[in-house]
Amino acid sequence: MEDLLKEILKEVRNLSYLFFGYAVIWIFLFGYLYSLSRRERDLRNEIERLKAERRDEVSSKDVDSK
Amino acid sequence: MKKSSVWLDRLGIATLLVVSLALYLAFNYAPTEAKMGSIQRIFYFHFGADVVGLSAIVVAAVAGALFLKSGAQKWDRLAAASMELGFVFGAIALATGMIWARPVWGTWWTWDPRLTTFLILWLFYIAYLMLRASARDDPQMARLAAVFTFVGVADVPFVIIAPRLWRGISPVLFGSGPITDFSTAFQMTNEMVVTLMVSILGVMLLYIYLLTQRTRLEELREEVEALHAEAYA
Repeated sequence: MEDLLKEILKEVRNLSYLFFGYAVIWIFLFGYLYSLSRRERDLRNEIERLKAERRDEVSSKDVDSK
Repeated sequence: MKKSSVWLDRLGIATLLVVSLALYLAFNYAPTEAKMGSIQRIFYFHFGADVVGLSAIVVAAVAGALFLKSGAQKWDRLAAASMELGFVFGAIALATGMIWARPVWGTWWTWDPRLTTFLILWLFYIAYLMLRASARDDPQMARLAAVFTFVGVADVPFVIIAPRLWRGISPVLFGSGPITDFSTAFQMTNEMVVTLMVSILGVMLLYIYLLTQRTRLEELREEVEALHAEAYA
């Protein structure tokens, strides 16, 4: 009876480590995916902003030359 | 839709399917290991992350060599992306290895040859990322970073042969090694081998998918730098 109880406790402990292990995998992966998508969004916004600035610059030069 | 985008979407779907299959096999198909119990099921993804952790620096070193030879920026982008992913998957391998070791070995960490050589490799990834971050716009930095990957890749054979070369407690999964103590190593059944192979394939596909995405990010960063240079010219 005592041995069975020990086995059950060992398996419960193992399962909690297993859960913890897979949780770590998903946290790392989703954290990295989030970081990738945030960096991509920031860069795309930056490109849009710089292109818009460039367009404004060109159009203001056109107005000045006219 | 662009051809590369279609290819990337297909790769993403294939990755999702193989990773899902690997998870199913790890929890429903592979038998419970007799000595270690359920915690051994973490090993399938731990080993996959381990393989990617080792492969990423090899990919970076090859890309670095091609960059030094041709000077093409695409190889430098690939090397930088691969090193960042090596850091991420290396961290997963180290963390899951520690979680596996706690109930099996009774300790979170031990200075076993394989663990130590893998930790050194992971520190190389960190050093590389710090090197790149410290002087991003310096054109000499890309060349120096490429050379740095050659130093790091020299550690890879030691990680692989460490358990066979020196007496450690890390299990040798394939072939016969000096480790015969099955309280720490384990003999795999056919179901376990199939599950391990599918898991490695799933993690490798995930690495390739993320590598493509990360390389694209590097292209965007260069576009921003070019636009900045144009604006201040």
